[in-house]
Amino acid sequence: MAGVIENSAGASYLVRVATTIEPPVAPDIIREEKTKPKGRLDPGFLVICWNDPVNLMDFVTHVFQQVFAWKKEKAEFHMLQVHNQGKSVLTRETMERAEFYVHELQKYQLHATMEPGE
Amino acid sequence: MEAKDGLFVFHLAKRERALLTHVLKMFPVGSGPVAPLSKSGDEQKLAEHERSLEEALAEQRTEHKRLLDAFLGEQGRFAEDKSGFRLRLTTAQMDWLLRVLNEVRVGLWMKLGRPEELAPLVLAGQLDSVVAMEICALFQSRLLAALGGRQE
Repeated sequence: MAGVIENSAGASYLVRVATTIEPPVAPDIIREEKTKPKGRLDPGFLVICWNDPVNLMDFVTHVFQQVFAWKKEKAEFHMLQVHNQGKSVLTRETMERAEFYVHELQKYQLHATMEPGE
Repeated sequence: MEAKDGLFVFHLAKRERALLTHVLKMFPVGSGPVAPLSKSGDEQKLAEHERSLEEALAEQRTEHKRLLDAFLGEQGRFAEDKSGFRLRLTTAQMDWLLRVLNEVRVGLWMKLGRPEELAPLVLAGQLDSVVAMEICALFQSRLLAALGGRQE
């Protein structure tokens, strides 16, 4: 609000200005909040390998190389992540692909699971 | 060990051959997956997928057993020489043998209750299983060392 109106002319001016700048409709912020952003990626499924006390470290590296066709350096990086941090997210995939990878890893007896992405 | 044109030749002493065949003949040790398909998914929704995993592993186990019987029964698979035996393996056979050995090893570990450490089990009278696991690990390490040079 602009303040106290001293005379009728000023009042008339302020009323006109107020009328002019008043938004004709309510802001459409609410509509924007309801709209889901377009092009947002499907969170998919994470393929995770968990640490266990039985699989040999070199064997885990070998399996990652075989299943994902990774270079030794990348396979070793993930193997060490499993060993030191208890788990490693190996890849994010669609449900079908994640399931395929978990099958392949478990066929080598690795403790691998698929978890919904966030 | 010698390697030439994708063929690996392992030299085994007589007792090494006996140990290898002993652990291979233990296959299959376990049944079922080493872990569920998912730890946090919708159990009902994933039930069918869990069954699919179990079936895939059972199929593989049957195929491994078929190949293993052929492998152990093949004439000349272990070629005798002056110091023991020569075992010739292709890269694919090495990967397959690694899987079989690991399945014996992990299967025994699961049967033992998935222990964090093996040493207490020796005192608890599980020496045979622990020794078999260590034999598997020994041969796995040799195979991995041989493959290591190729995979650099």
